[in-house]
Amino acid sequence: MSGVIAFTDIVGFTEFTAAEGDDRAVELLGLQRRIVDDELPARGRVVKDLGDGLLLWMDEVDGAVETARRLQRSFAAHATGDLPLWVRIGMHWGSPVERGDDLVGNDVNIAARISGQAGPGEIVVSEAVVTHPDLRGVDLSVDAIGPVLMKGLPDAIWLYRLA
Amino acid sequence: MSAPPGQPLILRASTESARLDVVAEDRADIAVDGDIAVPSGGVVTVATSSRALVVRVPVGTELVVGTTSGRVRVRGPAGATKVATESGRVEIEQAERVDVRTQSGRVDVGACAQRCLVQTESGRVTVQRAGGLAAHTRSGRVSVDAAHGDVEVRTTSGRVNVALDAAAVVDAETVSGRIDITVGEGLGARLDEASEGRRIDIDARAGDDCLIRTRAVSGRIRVRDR
Repeated sequence: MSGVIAFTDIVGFTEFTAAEGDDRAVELLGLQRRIVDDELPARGRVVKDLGDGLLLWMDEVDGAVETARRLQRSFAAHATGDLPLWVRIGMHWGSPVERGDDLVGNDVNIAARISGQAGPGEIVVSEAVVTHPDLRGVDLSVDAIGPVLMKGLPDAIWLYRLA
Repeated sequence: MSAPPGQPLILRASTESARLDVVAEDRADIAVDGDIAVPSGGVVTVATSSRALVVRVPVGTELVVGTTSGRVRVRGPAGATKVATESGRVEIEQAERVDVRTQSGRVDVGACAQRCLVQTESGRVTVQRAGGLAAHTRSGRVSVDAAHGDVEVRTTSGRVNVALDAAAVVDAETVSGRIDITVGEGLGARLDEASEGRRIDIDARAGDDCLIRTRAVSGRIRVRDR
């Protein structure tokens, strides 16, 4: 089984919760979840909630790229009043192992690390996404970040920022 | 061998803990520790784990560097410069564009002609001069002496100081951090409508030069004249 593993993460969630309280924090999480549920493609699913983030699975790489862009547009549009919704997204193409409804394996770990490289509102993807054959000839509008050495991973992985 | 005329060279470098010194100077080729490197398609790739390297490149060379903890120092006028590091210190004297991402490393940027993007978890960042700015910090302190273009600042709890030297659109958002924006001489500032009534103190001359958009949860944003 191969596809796109994506992590979303609300930046500053801990500080937001400390400042605004649990009810507002739950409101923020609910907003993230509603937006993701609305935007996920038919061949995609929320694998699990991770506190302030989500693990997502999408079968098709081109659909995943478009979905990530739609998500960021929607997050920005829904950040109203004093409610910030800074979400970072990291994506990697790989072959995880299914464990019940969950996904595990090295590619999942890589995707998690990649999301940590993204800033608020950014989408960062691995070279495996950018060079995927299904994206050949597609103008992705990516900007290379570089060969990034990430904690726990033995080799540098080329990362790209999706414009 | 150098790049064809008009085609800038690209240096791609990765280190684990090794120090990397890049010198951009008036030359046509790239030298790694004194040896001329042969570019492939205009790209020179170097990798080292713990051995320090000195790389000399032509003025305007694009730099892409990844390191875990190695110190990266760029001297002379480089092209677009991108550095991703966990904890290594990064010093960039002069670059066309900058994209630096760090977890905890200290970052010092001298002059960035165009957009300067800095992203840090806890590292301290200073930028002397930038054509435009995007600064994202969790707890690290960010200080920009002179921004000459649009500014986007997002801080979770870190303190951010930005001085504007030209008309700009400023997007400033904080959860619990403090953002201080200083408007340069002869410039006026105004809040966009959605920002009025939010946690912001504005004590700057009114004017349309700088449009300030803000969002603050519990932090403070202050705008004042220089």
